Amino acid sequence: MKKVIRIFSILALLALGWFMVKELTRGNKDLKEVTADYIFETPALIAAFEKDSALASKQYVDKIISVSGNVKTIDAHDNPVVIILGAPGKMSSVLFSMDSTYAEEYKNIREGDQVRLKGVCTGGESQELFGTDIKFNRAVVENLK
Amino acid sequence: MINKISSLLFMLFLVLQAESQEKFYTKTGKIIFFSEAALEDIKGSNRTAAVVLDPKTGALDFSVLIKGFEFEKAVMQEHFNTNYVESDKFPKATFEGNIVNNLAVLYGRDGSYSGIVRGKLTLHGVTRDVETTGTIKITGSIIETSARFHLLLTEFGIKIPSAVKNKISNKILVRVECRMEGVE
Repeated sequence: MKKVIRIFSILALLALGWFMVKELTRGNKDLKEVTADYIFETPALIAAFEKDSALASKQYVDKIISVSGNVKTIDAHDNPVVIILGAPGKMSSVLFSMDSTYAEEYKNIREGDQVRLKGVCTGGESQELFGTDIKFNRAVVENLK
Repeated sequence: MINKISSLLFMLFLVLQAESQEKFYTKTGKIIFFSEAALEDIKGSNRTAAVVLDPKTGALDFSVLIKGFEFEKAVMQEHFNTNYVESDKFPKATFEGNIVNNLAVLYGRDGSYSGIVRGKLTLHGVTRDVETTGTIKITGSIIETSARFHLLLTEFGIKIPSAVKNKISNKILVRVECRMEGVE
């Protein structure tokens, strides 16, 4: 009996150790493999945050959202690259901090292109100078129209 | 002689043009924090900080969404948001300050300047005075700024769980790098 208990104890410890190592080294989800929780056009997402920022934050922050729209600016001066969707001449925008694992897929995107990007929503903020900005991390290209 | 006058007029035009920019801004400022620790080094970076610089007054403001910090490991990111900075409760960090020696920065002329920045940093709902020295580089109508400073987590009411208290540093190195363009 003691031998059985000892074997089970060792197995339980090994399982716990395996779980802990796996948990501590767990990377972020690859968003290419994940279905979006919500799908938006750029103006509609901006409007949702402009209408009620608190409600929109509650609903969309930490969610995976697919957004389509016009590429307003690309900031490739640093890593990760940031692709900004929005209407030309308007300050409000949707910012995607891109997942560099998939750099090949967005390296040919240019200002003025129509794209669909998917990322984790990290929140939105409104400022007098900047308008309303909604921000995403670990973004990937869904498909080019 | 005419060439010299033309050159002077052109330089004057550049100076006036740069000085006519009311404010400089970016929505893609980069903020990195780094903590060296016995248990594990922790590095988080955020690429979507909003930064505004008023060259006339030297006023420098930035805001950053806490959930925008990315970590290599998911567990670090979860602990950072949940156990340390409580990002659901305090979603934003802000800085409101000034370049103290703003008069020494010639915004209309290309060059690299040393700037002393002083202001109030709000993080985790706590506001503290911060002062650091950074670099301000001007190239045409682009202003690049970089600065680094240290923070103590305890000064911002951020508690390190007792189980890892001796393994995670209370001292955090923060790096801020921005590339701003003018807006009239």
